[in-house]
Amino acid sequence: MTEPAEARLQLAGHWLQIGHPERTLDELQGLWGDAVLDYRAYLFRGAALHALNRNAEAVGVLRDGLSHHGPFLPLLQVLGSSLRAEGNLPEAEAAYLRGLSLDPNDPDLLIGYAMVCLAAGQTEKAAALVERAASHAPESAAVSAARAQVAFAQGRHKDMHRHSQEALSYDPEDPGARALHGASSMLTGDSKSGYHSLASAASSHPGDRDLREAAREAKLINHPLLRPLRPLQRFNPLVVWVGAVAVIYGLRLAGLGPVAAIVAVGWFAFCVYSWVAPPLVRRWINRKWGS
Amino acid sequence: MPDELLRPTIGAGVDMSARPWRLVSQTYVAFFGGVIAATVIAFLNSRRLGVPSDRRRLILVVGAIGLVLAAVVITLLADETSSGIRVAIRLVAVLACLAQLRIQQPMDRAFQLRGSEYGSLWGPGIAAVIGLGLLEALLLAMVAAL
Repeated sequence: MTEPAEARLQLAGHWLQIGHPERTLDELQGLWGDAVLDYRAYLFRGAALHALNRNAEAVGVLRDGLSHHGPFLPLLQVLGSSLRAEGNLPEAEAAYLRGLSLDPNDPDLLIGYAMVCLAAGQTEKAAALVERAASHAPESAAVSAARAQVAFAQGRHKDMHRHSQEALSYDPEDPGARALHGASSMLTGDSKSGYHSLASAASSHPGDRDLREAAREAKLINHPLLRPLRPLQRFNPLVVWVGAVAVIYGLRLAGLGPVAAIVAVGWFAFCVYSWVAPPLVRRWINRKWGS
Repeated sequence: MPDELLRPTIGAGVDMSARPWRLVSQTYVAFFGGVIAATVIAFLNSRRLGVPSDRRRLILVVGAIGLVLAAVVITLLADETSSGIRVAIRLVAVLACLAQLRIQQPMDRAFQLRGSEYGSLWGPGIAAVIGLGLLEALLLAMVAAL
């Protein structure tokens, strides 16, 4: 391979690593000769397309790469992840299992396969795969982040928060770990640090609409006018309602009719406020942030 | 020795194109529409989420128990004020709904991890609240009249 082509491939890899997949694609566009068929050209192009959420194209490129170079683990890893993102779980599973038949203890493949199992609702198998990955890799941000996702799937929010903190302690800049930390903080009622983590994850991934939306919702929940509505965010609104009914009828049974009536009026006002305030504050925040 | 953990277990069972409804949105259907409306919405949603069929049957069982409880409540509280009866019946619907949400939660979490978009419950929810809410009110009125 010529020297300029090698330099171009290395630059393409560098752009990918620092989170600029569109520049990776630009760089690869200029390749010529043998370099076009280099395994890294397939890998970087597939990974860049996957990062840009163009998963159907990524799958095509990676399958081409596999047909040229045979079962190469990083290609299978990105192929599995692209197929999962595309929603093709059985083929994603097949890609990971093909890789794992070559190296049953590869931590990246084990975690990737665990994510497919989580998406299919198989949380116990996912947890076992993540623990196997952890036993073969030193503790890392990837393992902690995977544990956090397993905990989320199982509804264990405190554990999710703990694992996402671990992931952040391994790599404080990792946007994925920040997003998980933000989501778990919101779920455990710490909406202030939830907002900070989600906003910083969203600013590292300006193209991610879901993250942007989550950060905006977190900002909304932190607004002083919406502070009284925290219980509705933290618990299911039905649970809050059951609590209110229990208090009102409890007071009435205890012979405190007038107090029960005051609580009932307060509860009614709270309900009206919970319907009116969020849309108004949301509109105000959206105007400030731009939609 | 074959590795149990590395055996394929994912069939084509999960319909990725289906757009389920948010669990929190279902709570409003239960609150305003009652047990039948909540159960029908929860049952339809559990199919969209790919909840296993035995768990889906459990949603129906919880709904049936809720309906029977509502009938018992309306019979026992025959002398109460109408607002007291309404709150008691709503309480039964809400508790049944909370149980039904718990059954759906694992697959709802899997859906969230897939990062897809939820569907809107406005149309089906309002239809269920009005249509099935009236049906339930009629059934319970018949029980109360017995």
